[in-house]
Amino acid sequence: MPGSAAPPAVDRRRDTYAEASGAAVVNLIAKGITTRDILTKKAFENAITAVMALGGSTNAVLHLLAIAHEADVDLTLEDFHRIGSKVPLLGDLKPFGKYVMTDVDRVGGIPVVLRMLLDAGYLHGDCMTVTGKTMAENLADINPPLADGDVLHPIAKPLSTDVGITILGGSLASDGAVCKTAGIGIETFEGPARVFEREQAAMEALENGTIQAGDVVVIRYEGPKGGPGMREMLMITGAIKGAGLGKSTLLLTDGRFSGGSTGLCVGHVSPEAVDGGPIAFIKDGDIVRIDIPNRRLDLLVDAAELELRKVGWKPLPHKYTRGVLSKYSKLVGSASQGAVCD
Amino acid sequence: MKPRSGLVTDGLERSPARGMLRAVGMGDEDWVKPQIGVASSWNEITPCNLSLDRLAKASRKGILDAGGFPMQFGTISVSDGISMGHEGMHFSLVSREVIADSVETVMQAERLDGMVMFAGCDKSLPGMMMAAARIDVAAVFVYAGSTLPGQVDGKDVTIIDAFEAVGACARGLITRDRVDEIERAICPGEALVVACTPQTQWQQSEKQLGSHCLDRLRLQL
Repeated sequence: MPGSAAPPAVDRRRDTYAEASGAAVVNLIAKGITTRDILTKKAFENAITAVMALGGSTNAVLHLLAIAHEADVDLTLEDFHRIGSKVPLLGDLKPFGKYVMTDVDRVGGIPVVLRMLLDAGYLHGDCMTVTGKTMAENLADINPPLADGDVLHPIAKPLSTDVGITILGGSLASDGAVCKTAGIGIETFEGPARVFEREQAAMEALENGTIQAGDVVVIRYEGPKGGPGMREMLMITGAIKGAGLGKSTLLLTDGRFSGGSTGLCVGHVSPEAVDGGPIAFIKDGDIVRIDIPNRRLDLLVDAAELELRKVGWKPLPHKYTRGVLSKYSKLVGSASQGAVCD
Repeated sequence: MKPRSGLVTDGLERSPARGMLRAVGMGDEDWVKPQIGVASSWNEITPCNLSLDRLAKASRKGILDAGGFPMQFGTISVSDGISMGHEGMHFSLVSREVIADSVETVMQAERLDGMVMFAGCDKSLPGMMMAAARIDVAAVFVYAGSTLPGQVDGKDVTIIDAFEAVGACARGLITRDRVDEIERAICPGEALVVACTPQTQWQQSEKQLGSHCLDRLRLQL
């Protein structure tokens, strides 16, 4: 429901939104409006725009790709780059900024951001919504206040015009990788790889103090299929930041991150290790380079040496041979397409 | 007004189905109404989902007043905050598919005409929306709302601060007591329980939480 994103869980306005949602769905049926009338390509472009303006997490990439797949909408990683390279960062929000969602609510909520983006031509105002009206009509009804200038910045004075979520390619991520670059302030990084099979090994190294500034921490066999389940790495990214290494190390994984993760972190590296992606062949000490402006993630090892490493290579065996994760690892696709199962 | 549910309510052959539906509260006057699924991932496992049952019930009134017939059902969700950093996290993303599949399954089997969806965790939001997109019925999604931050020394703290405190403590930058202080403050999620339960349980919550969290909440509620 319009305006319902920001009020906190304990806020009784939520009961009002819930009741209104019941009336709204009956109205949609009366008008013959179904989900795919709302979840159009333009609607996904609007969603990406809002995510970028608020400095949203890399999980938005994974989930929007998956929802688009279900809606039969052709959405790709390139759409995130195309939109992300235009949209200014307007929300000063954690984990990189100062405020939380409750603060956004206090200054008028998400409609404040949407109205600014609409007025500046970043949003498609003609998208149908669950109210049976367009997004522009909903915003006109709400008539949200202007940006307060602190929690939410006006378009004329954005927090940043850098790309919020950078979609990477390069020799290590031929099918794509994501890096949350909102508020990061680093363009390139190059260092020796410290390779770990799954997260716990990296966590132990951090606790032992053997991860140093300048290292490229590679955590592999955490992809959708090979993990399985593409684990979030908030444990290790939080600990790295807490240890003061957030901007002096690069973390690289075929797993994913939480919205709470900060620092120089590249996730969703595809193809993943279990599928024989280049990440599977990195060795300790190899030089890895990220170049954010040029959207490249590269392993600086010559091709002949990499071919040698592939001879006789076998992926780590699957961790689960029974139950839901066994089924899942047989069905799940690439993170670069949302890690969907059909 | 009944794009799908006529298949379970109309005609001689559906007498057994109507018999079942009568037992969940439908009567002769209800057969013409659209049947609306009210899907929620309510549970007591994560603070993010505690309010969903209350919200789902609030939506019933909206559905009834608008001329629909609400039918509530549940699905699962898991907490990323609790499953972070160990074996449990393998099950997080797959829960998105389980949620989508389970909502799809109920909606398609029962031929409900539309749905309202309630969720509060990272994977339950996209899972619900994936189900709606997949089956393409009229659908409205409502988010449970974010958790209020807690406070340490007058500064807002969230679960992110707790994860960062672990690394800081491991490096000797902060004390174990400081970690404990942050841990107790980050998630005043019991607010939901506090807001809806008797005084005795409030007092119980006060023992479990840092009292400053609840002071803050008393002001807000």
